[in-house]
Amino acid sequence: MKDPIQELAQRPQRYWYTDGLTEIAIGVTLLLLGLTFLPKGLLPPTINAQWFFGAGRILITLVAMILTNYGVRLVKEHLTYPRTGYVSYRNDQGLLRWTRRGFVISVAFSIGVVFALISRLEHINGWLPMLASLVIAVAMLSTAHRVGLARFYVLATYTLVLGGAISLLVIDDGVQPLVFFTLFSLGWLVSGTLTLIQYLQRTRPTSEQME
Amino acid sequence: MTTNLRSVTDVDRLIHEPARLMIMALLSGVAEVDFLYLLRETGLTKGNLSAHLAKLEQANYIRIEKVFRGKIPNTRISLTPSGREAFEDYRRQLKEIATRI
Repeated sequence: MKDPIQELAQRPQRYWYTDGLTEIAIGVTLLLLGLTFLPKGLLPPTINAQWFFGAGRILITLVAMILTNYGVRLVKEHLTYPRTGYVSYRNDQGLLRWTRRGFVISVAFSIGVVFALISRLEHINGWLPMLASLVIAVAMLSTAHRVGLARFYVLATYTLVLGGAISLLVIDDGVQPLVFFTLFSLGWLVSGTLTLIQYLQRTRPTSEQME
Repeated sequence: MTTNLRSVTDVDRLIHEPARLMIMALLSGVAEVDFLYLLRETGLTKGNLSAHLAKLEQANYIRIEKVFRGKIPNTRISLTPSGREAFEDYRRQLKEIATRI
């Protein structure tokens, strides 16, 4: 039997995703990431260029994530908070905060380096979408479990199916990542947009205050 | 009255009231929320919620702050350190009682 008090404490965590804005932001980030695979075919196959794009993609992803995070907060101020209320989440403070950020950046960079190395191994290169979707799906399942949102389980399943399909289909290696990230972002954009539409339909701005 | 039965009556009755328990539980996982969020999540009426918040504030379990978002007034609510500690104690007590039953 679930702890009802724990379920109540979980509700504000779920609230961050109530308007679909985060999913839209993630979809945009993934679309930008997919676009970074466009010039790959135009570059000479030098080791330096491969390493550059491996690190460059991580940097572009991190910058996009930071920008979309601020964008989401800004839109929430004008759209979400006047309709269903304001929630501020507890963050780490001081050294622990920067240590955690440094860890995330290091992990993201390491994953980028590993994928860049794997992409040079021709016999498993085609399975990169499956590998990437597996990593992403695990992260999404973890989030789905933490906040208790059913549609994140659907997105995780979509991610796995997409990764498998892209890996199995005969697609040119040069466009395979672009196809994968474009379709991947589409799932997030559709999910976020539908959620936002439903949210706007069932809520109205209000100014309820304490008596 | 045995020690086991006495522990049931020792729970913090200020938190134990269902509406206030809901408020404390919602606040426990966040830094702060505003009045509108609590109103929607608890389903209480405006007057009812205000009355419960006043009791919790009187006990120094929560802090209520009136701020302005632009020109619009906004009431922000957060747990105080003593409120957080009281809530954790309450949860621990409930778990102990549940294991003994």
